[in-house]
Amino acid sequence: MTTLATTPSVVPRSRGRGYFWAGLGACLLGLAATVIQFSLHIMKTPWYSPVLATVGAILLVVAVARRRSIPRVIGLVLVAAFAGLQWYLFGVLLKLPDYNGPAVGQPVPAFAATLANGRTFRDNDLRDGSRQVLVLFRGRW
Amino acid sequence: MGCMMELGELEKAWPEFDKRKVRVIVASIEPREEAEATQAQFSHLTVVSDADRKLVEVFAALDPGHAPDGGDTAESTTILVDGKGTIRWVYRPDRASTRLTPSEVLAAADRVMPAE
Repeated sequence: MTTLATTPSVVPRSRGRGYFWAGLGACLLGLAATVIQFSLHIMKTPWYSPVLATVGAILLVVAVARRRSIPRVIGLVLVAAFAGLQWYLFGVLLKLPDYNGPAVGQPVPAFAATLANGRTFRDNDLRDGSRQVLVLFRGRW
Repeated sequence: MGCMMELGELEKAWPEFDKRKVRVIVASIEPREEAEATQAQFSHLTVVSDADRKLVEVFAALDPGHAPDGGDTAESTTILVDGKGTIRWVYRPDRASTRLTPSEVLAAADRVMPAE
């Protein structure tokens, strides 16, 4: 009677796991930093977030290449989609056209609007001798 | 959220503007009722309702269809105007997610229209 002594090929469970967690971590780091930034009222476009999500997606590609598993593939798809969404948001949706109104050195053109108290507000009100900051804002949201 | 945050920061920095005798006027194309609510929230700012869009049109700042409800809005723009009504400085961010800090506005005001 012969006995087959076979050694099962063991794939280390940790193969590529570091890349998996690093990829998720990079993505979540960008998200967390964005939340912290805006909670500190720093209103600048958080470009680091799509960059970190992209780095995360690349790390997840490496993790999947090392060992393919359903959680890794799902993680890759989610992080890549999140990175793509952010690039689209910051790169396209939130992009503003260049300013092409009256140039520096020109007088404020004639206009009429309404103050919150109902009084009319005109360009002449900007010629009352005081220095002014005029902020056009998007709305109450 | 970004706009109200911006107005809140300007309101907080009002003592610095007041020290320099610089008035802060904030305008949107929302109706007057909205401007009243904004004024109640930020009492040191001068809030303007530009519902007829005359002001945003002269500064080429109308942003059609980009309000959260799909309506029109104004592109964020900061303009410094001296006492004679002359435009001294204009800033428009390249992204709607970016705003100037009050310190940046004050630095620009000190630079381009120093107190006489």
